[in-house]
Amino acid sequence: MNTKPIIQVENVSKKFTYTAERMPNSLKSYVINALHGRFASKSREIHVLNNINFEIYPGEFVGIMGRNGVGKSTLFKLICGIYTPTSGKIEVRAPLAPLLELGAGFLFDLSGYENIFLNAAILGYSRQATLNTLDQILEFSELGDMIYMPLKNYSSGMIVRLGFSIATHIDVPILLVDEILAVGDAGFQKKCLDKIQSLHKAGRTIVLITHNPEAVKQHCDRCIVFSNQNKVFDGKPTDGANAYLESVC
Amino acid sequence: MEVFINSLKMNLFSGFTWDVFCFKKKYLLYNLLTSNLKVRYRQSVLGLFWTLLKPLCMAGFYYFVFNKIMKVTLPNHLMFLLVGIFPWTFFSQTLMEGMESLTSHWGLLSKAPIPLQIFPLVSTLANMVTFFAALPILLGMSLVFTQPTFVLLLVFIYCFLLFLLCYGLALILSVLHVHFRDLKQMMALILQVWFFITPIMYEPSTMPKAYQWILYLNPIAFIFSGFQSVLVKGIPPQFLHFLIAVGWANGLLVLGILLHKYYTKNLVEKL
Repeated sequence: MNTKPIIQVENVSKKFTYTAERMPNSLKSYVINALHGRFASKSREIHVLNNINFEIYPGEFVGIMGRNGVGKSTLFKLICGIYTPTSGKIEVRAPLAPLLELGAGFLFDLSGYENIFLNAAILGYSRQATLNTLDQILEFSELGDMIYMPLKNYSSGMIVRLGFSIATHIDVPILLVDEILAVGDAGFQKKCLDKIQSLHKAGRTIVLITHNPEAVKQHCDRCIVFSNQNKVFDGKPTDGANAYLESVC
Repeated sequence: MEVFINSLKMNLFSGFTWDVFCFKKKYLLYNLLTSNLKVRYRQSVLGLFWTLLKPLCMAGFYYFVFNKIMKVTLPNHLMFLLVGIFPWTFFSQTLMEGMESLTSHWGLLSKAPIPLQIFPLVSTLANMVTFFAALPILLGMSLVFTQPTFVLLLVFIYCFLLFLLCYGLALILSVLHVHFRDLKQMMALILQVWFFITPIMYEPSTMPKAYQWILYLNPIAFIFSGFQSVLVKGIPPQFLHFLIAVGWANGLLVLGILLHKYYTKNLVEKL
């Protein structure tokens, strides 16, 4: 491909440092330990990602698979800048919408309508962009008049519907989707996947974390599989799904 | 030295205009602030009234104890107490909320890329709204009970200084609270001591000479004495005292900004 990659991940490693249980993070225990001459906290390092390299090009629909705890979500957080990599470089060349959780920052005392603006602002959308797509958001969420009720009166399915509607109706070139489709009923899951598919057709770049090999085979152009802190597969979705099933079993 | 100052300026202004004042994120700031205020005051119609009632009651109690029981009288005594206790309520509330502003938003911060400085700012601004609701009460009393002059306008400068100082401390405490979770219990004690070493119930001049140094080391002492002299006595504060207040407010703000700029890289993981 001649075009520049829209997301470039170069030699990225990430390790977390956990303090051992004997050093809880309180000032009291810090002072007591200092009095006993134990300044350095006993910490344990956990390598989550090790020397990861890959590129994602504009317009691709990439599925990311791997067993639980393999670092998929960490990778997403690195890409959208919540975490900083321990080493390596990540470049993102267009605005992205991080859908790590539907309805991040929803406040349950406010109405659904007010939460649309709050959540959109948290995702980085402008007021004008939100206003322009407000009607479509309301329609897709199927909430009707419930939209003016406080969020605490919603069912969990309704909250997910609202969160998904806000996240997918505003025009952003890159969409990072993290397993959020595991919730909601079958009908809504299908509707969401169809919506994501239509965004892909419209030219957006989509990166999807999923545990569903069928969804990958059906929708993705490319599949990346992670296992033991490393990228073990990068290529055709059908082969990727098999590699994933192998790494899990 | 000049290089150092220039790099400091560069750092401050790039960090300041982009992140701290959140020009880029001003729409997010606006949304977080209005939602915070809505949640705070929606549940009860009298929301704002309750928040103002607490300092009013406190001032009333202190007036009764000092003026009636212990027979210590000051001119305009009740008003004198109110002028100290309203800013103090703002100050202590902001510190407690600002301290927890990062730890309490853990869920959001680990799910969306948001500049961390925005949460202490939201806490400070939300409390500032309450304080501004109380300001007409103080100004009104000053107009009625004293001979007002243009000196009264200085009160807005002191409000701004208090805001800068609160934001600076909120920035510092919010980072410390991530590392030391028992800071909250300690803050309750610290605030209690702080209340009594600050000129709120007394004038700074009544502090014995041997203890005057406490005032100079207390970052808020000359802001509070400034409120007293401007609102109650109607005379401008000593220039040196004013400078010290400006120095403390800006110093703590710069410290807070630098702390956030250099020590928050991996903070979200530790929340």
